[in-house]
Amino acid sequence: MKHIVKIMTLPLAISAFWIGLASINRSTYPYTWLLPIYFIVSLGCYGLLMVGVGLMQFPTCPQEALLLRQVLHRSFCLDDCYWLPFSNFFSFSCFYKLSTCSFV
Amino acid sequence: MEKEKNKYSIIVPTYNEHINIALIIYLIFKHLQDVDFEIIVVDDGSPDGTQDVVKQLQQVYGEDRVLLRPRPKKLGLGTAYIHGLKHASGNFVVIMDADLSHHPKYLPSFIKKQLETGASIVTGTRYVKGGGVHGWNLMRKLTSRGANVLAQTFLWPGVSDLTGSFRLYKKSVLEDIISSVVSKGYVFQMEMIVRASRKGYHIEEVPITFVDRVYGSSKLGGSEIVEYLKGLAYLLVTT
Repeated sequence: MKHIVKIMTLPLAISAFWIGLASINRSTYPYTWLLPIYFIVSLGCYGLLMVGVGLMQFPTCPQEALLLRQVLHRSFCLDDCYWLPFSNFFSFSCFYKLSTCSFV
Repeated sequence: MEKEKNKYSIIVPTYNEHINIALIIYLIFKHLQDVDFEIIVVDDGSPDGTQDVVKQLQQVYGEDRVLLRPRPKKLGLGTAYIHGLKHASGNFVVIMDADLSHHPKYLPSFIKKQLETGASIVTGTRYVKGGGVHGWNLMRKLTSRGANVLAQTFLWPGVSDLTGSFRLYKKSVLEDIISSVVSKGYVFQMEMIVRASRKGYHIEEVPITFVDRVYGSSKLGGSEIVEYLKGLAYLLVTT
């Protein structure tokens, strides 16, 4: 079954429930017409909450960047050149350093 | 015993990576010492001498361990994997980036996880305990989280990191999936894992860290976000 069909069953079921409610006497459930709005708002809240929680718990690894830098430095004396922002100078600097370090 | 029978083909697509490719090959050999593997470098005609560096490395490590399979020009990531796959002799294929954002020290954990679980795919995830990302600003993190929530809500993929590209596949599984994948760029990895999940392949995850280049090409602009949303909609209706 296509995934879109699975996903669509949920809003369809909710819609059916809502239409059912709406067809009942209005005086029994006077705020039925507001339910779709509540649903959309709660969906938005859920999305924002998940993004917020994900952002707060976002796993970072600054120690890995340090370790990588150490590995580069130990193995290839690339400590300076790898992090240089200027691309032309970057290449030149690295080639120079590679030829002077104990590479391969 | 089983470990000895398996051979791992590590496909590394490159473009202008003459420094990083040397480092990555060195690190792979350092971290995979008792494993039968080959590294297949698929270079898209880099003008910076990447292929020359790989040829030098072939002399050091052997042409049967480091394979250079170049292509004349930039032809896209998906076709680079297909190209590498044609030359792979292992029964498992690892795909990873050459820019050192994927550290080869995690390769043993991929292999161990596969052996323990018999999974068809082991995918590296940055978003669980033990994993992580370095080098992203708040906007990049926000975009990533938003994209992830959207994908998890609408696609139910069963994995926590859809766009990561550090993965181990059974070769037959990769051949099966890659033939049906049509997306390019950012959405490619997501389509691969979603299609695999829909086909019912056993997917396992291992935590990895992702150290982005401090001065690199990890930009995520408006057009990438639009492409991502289009890819999401496409996967929603086609899988």
